Formats: sequence, structure tokens, C-alpha cells
Amino acid sequence: MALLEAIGIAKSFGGIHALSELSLRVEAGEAVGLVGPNGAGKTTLFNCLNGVERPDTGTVIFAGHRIDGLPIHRRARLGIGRTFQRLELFSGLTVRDHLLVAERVRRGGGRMRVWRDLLDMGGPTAQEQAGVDRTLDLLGLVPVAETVVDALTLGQGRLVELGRALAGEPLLLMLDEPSSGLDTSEASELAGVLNKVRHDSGTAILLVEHDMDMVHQVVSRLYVLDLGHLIAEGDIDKVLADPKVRSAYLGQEV
Amino acid sequence: MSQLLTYVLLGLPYGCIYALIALGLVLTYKSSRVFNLAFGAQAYVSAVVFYVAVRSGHWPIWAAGLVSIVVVGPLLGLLLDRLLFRHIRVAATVVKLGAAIGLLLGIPEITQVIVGTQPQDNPPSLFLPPSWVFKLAGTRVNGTEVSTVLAAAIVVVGLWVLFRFSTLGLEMRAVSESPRMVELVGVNSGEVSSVAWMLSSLLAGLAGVLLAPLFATLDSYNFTLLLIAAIAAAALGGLASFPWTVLGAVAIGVAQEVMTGYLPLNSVLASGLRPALPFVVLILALLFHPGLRSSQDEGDPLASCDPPPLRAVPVKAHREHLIDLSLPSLFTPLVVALAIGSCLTWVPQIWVGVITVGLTYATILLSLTVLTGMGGQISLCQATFAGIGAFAAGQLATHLGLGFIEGLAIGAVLAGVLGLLLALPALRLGGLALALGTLAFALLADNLLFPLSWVGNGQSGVYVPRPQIGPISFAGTRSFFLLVLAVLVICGVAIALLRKGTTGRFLAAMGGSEVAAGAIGINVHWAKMTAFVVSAVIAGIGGAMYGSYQGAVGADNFNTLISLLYLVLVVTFGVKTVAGAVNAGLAYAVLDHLLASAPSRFGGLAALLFGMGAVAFALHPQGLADLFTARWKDQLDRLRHPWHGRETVEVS
Repeated sequence: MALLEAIGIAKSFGGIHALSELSLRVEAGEAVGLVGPNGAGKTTLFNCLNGVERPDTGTVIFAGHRIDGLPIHRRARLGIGRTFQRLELFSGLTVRDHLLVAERVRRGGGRMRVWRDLLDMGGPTAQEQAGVDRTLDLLGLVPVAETVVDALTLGQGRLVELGRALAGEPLLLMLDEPSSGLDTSEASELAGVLNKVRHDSGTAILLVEHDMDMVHQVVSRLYVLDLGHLIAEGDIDKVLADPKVRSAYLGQEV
Repeated sequence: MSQLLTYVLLGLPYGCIYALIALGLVLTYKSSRVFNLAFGAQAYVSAVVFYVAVRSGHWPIWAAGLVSIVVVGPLLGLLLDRLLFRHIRVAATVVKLGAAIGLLLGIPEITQVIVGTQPQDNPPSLFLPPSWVFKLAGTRVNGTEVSTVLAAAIVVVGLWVLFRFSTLGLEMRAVSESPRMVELVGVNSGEVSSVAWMLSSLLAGLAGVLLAPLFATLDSYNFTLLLIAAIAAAALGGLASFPWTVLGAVAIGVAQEVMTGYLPLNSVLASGLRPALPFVVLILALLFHPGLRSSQDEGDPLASCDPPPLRAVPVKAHREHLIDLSLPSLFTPLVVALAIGSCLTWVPQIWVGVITVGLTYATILLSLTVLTGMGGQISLCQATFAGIGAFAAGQLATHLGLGFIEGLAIGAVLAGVLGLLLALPALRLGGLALALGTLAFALLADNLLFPLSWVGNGQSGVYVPRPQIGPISFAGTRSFFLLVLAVLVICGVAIALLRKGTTGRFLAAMGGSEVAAGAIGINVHWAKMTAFVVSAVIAGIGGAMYGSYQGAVGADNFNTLISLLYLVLVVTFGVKTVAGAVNAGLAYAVLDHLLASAPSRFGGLAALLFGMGAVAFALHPQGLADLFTARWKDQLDRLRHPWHGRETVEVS
């Protein structure tokens, strides 16, 4: 059974159909790309999948649970991690704090535990610190670990978002344009990190990305979205050779 | 029927005046993203200038009107825009609100310092005097009412023409969408938004001068209420639509008078609900207007071109120790111990009292450290929670003979319950909408809850005893000081522990980004409720201690203006730290005491100073105390390590 199965998702804002009746599937441990021109509905689809928005119609099944009615934090606890196209960092917190929050959510199941805090049992544990150090190391964020995120570059901010999602040890990692703000070598490095994560922990990846080199490096299967419709899906090379895709997204010259 | 018409006609002038201010609110919110709570105060300034010019200066009415409305009003708006608001366009909501509230509190005080506090009775009319009466459909209508409605109608039509047909109107509409985009096509968006500020300040000035003769005396409080009604109208228009704003304003004005006519006399409904109507409308609009809930930070497609927003936090990593008093660490325990020892021995009783009051303020202010500092939520009703704590302690002691400590515990729980009740509808709100909702809640409590004999007992107040624990009495000044200190320390340590633990981290995450906090698995609703409850409990405890110090407290000790003052205080001294709250409480108590003996026109100077402090904070959002400490620490570092170049002083 697929890890994520979305069936007939539709969403409109006012009179605009952002998504019309589209279906999508991600197998456990699989890396899938989602591409399409700006405004195609990629981010809206992400929002409907992880619960930032409710789709008008459609069913989402994740790891055997029907999740389309669940609030965002319940979906996260089931194992959906994501990053955002427009950075959503916790302003005022350091990079380390970002990862510590996510570690604590995972280990504590998301419970607040006011009483434990009042008994001085709420500080970061050694395991949490070790987990954070591993993530910092993996993403090369060690030099900025104690920096407040407001002072980071866009690219570093994207890495922090990725790290924060990874600290939750998700079954599915949804990445919304992770390479924007990175230069070519950084993007290629990031692709390496993603492949390593998928290889080591079996995390499935759903990648929205305009940088086709990076898409090639990470994913094996591709969905192409245009104006809220799915116009192609399948093996990446076959999809990219499809003339319909070339005219809608890539342009003829590629 | 003719009776209904009478009330409708009576309400129309009020509705029209509300509409003028509400239009100004919407106009400036759209063009500069600042919700200017100071329009009520600006209206007051124009009304006072008009009054003084006519009554003391014996100017002709037209000249006084021209100066107060067309000169003073826009000039004030221009000043505020140039000096303050345009610099904080992209600042955090708490920064913008803190500045606007600072002005709301400070401007009337400055005015009184200048013109004095003698009562300004019988304000003159701009156009027709109230003695000029005629009958309309069997109803007596006086000249002031007619001219008010006419003036407002002319202004509204004029605005409509301006926005619909002029280039300037088109530019203003464009700037409200995206100032950056407008600049790209060659329009100076700063100038356009200055015009919006001048225009809306002119409206406020007109509203002030028109409103004044409807009351017997010029009183800045009436202008604050005017502001609230205008806020409600603006909320009905979704902070965006001009026609709905005007309709809403008129409807509120008319509904108030109709209610006066038909509600039974001398009941709580008549005395409480009529003034409370705007607050009820405001709450309902916030909860059910689809445009308001999501209206916070959408907007400029070119937002990323702007510099990053000013935040209420230093960019340096801020690792707080259990109790960080923002002094060099060796010094702190020594100085604090000395101060406490002095208070227990040789310091005169009267000053121990002042410090005690400061510490009770500090306890109340800690509630904002939790809610705003840790959770990023803005509350303008902390005094209401404090009042619940104090009144519960007092009422339980008076009527049930409970001891103070039991009363304090129950009061704190009640405040917590109230916090929960407030949090439930507020869950969907955030940022500005939440702040306005809590403001309406505080005003509602002022009007409906606190006057009740079994709550705040209105003006007569409630007697609150000094604590007695077992055989030990804390009735003496010095012993009570010690108890207040202990309570503050307990609350401060509790907050430091929460901050260090799961709660603090989840709240910080929520304050940073609700969407992202949800996306990593934090239940944001739960976190918000926790923050509100913890904060209300702490405010309740602080309120009870304050009440116990005062001996008797009434509704005036915990009204909405006090809530606003609390926010301004912590914002000025640093909302993030326990030390900020302590410094703020002490500073306010000391200043208030020193000014108590000053001439009456300087009586409100403390509010003025802190109001200006909040404005200064808006431009230095890490909090002034933190700013100065940081500078001082830098200096110390340089003295200690003179061989280190400036570049090598690590930021960590």
C-alpha cells in the first residue's frame, strides 16, 4: 500500500480553481517530484496534504490513516514533515533552538507538560542535544548553530527548515522549492543530503522544485501540474520527453 | 413610530462622527499597515485647540475651526507619519500597537500639560449652536446635530469623489496594495502615504471638534470611547471597505440611541449594555468577519524587497539565566541583597511602600512576559485578569471570611478560568485581531462586570485584607514587602522554568510562526490556551497582591486604560525577560510616586513618559533597558579587554 494516497483533491479560492480533482501517490521510501509553472497549484496541494488548508473535496490517506479531516499537528505527528516556499522560521530563536523544539515534539509526542517544566525537568536532554548535533552536522549548520535565525541568509534559512522537518523523523518529507536561494554547488550538496537521508532512514520525499538538475539528482518519478490539473505523471525521463510537458513548463528549447 | 424616529435622529450625529474616525482608521491601515489607536487622542487635541481658541482666545469660530481642523489635525498626522509610523510599517504587530497605545496614552497628557487641567465646560459648536432648534417629522432637532450630519455627509461624499476620480485617490488605492510596486511605476509612495495620514488626521480633528459640543465637558475619556466605536465600525468594514465602514458606524450610533430609548431604565442592561454595544459589535465582527481573521500579514507581493521587519527581540542570541537582572553577574546578587536588606531595615516606610507596589506591578507584568514575550500573543486585557484576582480575594474575605491566601488562590483560579473563556473564541484570531478582541473584552468587563456589587462594586470598590499565614501577620509594611517579593520571585522562577522547558519552546515556536509550529506537530490551539491561562493566573495573583497593598480597590484600578498602560510598560522595558517586567513595575511605581506631589497638570506625566517610551521602543525594538544594558556590557567588555579590537568582540 502506498505511503501517501491523495484522491480527487479539489480546492478553489473564490472563483479560481487552484486544484481540480487531482490524485497523487507516494510509495514508502520513494522520491517523487512535483513540477509545474508558478501558479500551477503546487503549494496549494502541499497545504491540502499537510493540513494548512482543507481541500474542498477529496481524500488523503497517509500510512493507513485517513487524514484529510485532521488538523495540521496531528498529520505532522503521523509523520509528515514539510518546508515552506516562503520561509516560516521561528523568529527570535537560534538554529539550535529550532531543532530542539522539533526533537522535543517528536520525543514528547507534542504534549506541553507544564508541571514537568515547573519541576525543572523540562530542559534539553543529552539525547536531544545529540540528535540536534547530528542534524546540524548533516546539514553543515554547525557554524551558525547559536545564531538567531533572523540573521541567516535565505539559503541557510532553508536548511534550518529542512533540519527542523528532519528532526521530526518524518516518513514523508515534503519540500517546497528547497534550492531557491542556494547557488548551484549548494543545491547539488543539498541534493546529496536528501539522497543520504532517503537512503539512511527510508524517508519518502515529495519535492517541488524548479531547478531541474536537482530534480534529476533526487527523484525517479515526476508529476507535472499546470493550472491545477495534472498533465503528466510517470518515470522522470519519459515525462520530460512528453511534448505536452515541454510546451507547458519547460519550453521547446530544453 | 415617531418615537423610534426620534431615537434614530438622535443617534445619527454620533454615527456620523464615528464614521469620520473609522474612515481614518481604515485609510491609514490600508496605506501604512498601522492601526492607529491614537486617532481618538488626535481628535481630542483638535477639540481642545478649538475650545481654547474660542473660549480663551476669543477667536472667531471660523478661524478657530480652520486652525484646529485644517492646520493642527493634518500637521499632527504628518508629524506622526514622518517621525514614527513610516519607520515601523513592517514591524511586528506588538511594536506597532505599543507605539500607537503610547500615543493614545501620551497625547492627552501632553495636551493637559500645555493647557492645564481646569474643566473645559460647554464646548462651542463649529456651525449651528444647539440652541437653534427646529422640528423634523415631529421631532426636535438642534443645530449641532444637523450640522454634524451635514458635515460628515459632505466629507464622505468628498472622499468618495477623491478615491473614485482623482489621480491621488488612485495612487492611495495602489499604495494600499503594494507600496513597492507603486514605487516601481514612479510614484513616491512615502508622499502618498503622508497624504493619507494628513487626510485621516484631518478627519479625526473634524470628528473631535464636532463631537465636543455633544457633551457638557471636554473629557479625553469620551474620545477614547469614540475611538472604540470607530474601531468596531472599521471591523465591520473588514478594515478595508469604506462603504461598509460608514454604514457600520452610522448603525452603531443609531443602535446605541435606540437601545437607550427602549431598554428598561435603571437596569444593568441600560447602564452597561448601551456603552458596551460597540465592544460587542467589535467582538462579533472579529469572530465572524471572514476578511479579518486572515487579514494580518498577507499583502505586498514585493514584501521581500523590504528590509526584514523589526522584531521585539535582539538579534543576538539571548540566553536567559533563571533570573537575569540584566546586570553583570557578579554584581547582581550583591546589589539585590543590599536593596532587600535596606528595605527591611532603614529605608523609610513610605519608600518601602512604593517599592512594594512596584513589585506587585512587576508580578502583573510578568503575565505579559508569558503571553507576549514567550507566546507572541498580544493582550490588552491583563488588568481585567488582575482585577478578577483582587476582587475575588476581597469579596471572599468580606463575605465568606476566607483568609487572604485562600482568596488569592481562588482568585488566581478564577482569573485562569476567565483566561480560558477568552482564549476559546480567540483561538482563531492572531496579531491585530486578537489585540482588538482582548481590548473589547476589557471594555466589556469595565462596563458590565466590574460595576456589579459582587465583583468590583463599581466606584465604592472592594476591601482587600492583608495576608495572615498561620500565626504570622503580614500587615506591617516591611513584612508585607517581604511577602510580595517572595510571590514575585516564585512567579519569576516559574516563568523561567517554563521558558527553559517544553512549554517555553512550544510557545516560542508558536510566536515565531503558527503554521510552522503546527507543521512540526505542535497543537497551536492548546499552546495558545495554555499561554492565556498561565498568564491570567499570574495576573490574578499580582492583582490580588496589589489589592492587598492598597487595602481597597475598585473598577478604576483595573480598567482598560490600565491594561493599555501595562502593555506599554513591558514593551518599553523589554517584553522578553523577567527583568524587563521587574524594571518596568519598579520604574512606574517610583515615577508615579514622585509625580504625585507635582502640580495636577503634571499628574499624568508617568503615563506620558512611558507612552513616549513605547514610541521610542518602536524604533529600538529590543526594549530600551536591554538596549542600554547591551551598550553598557559592550563598554565593560572594552574596559576589561582593551587590547581586543572592536571587530573581535564576538556576537554570541
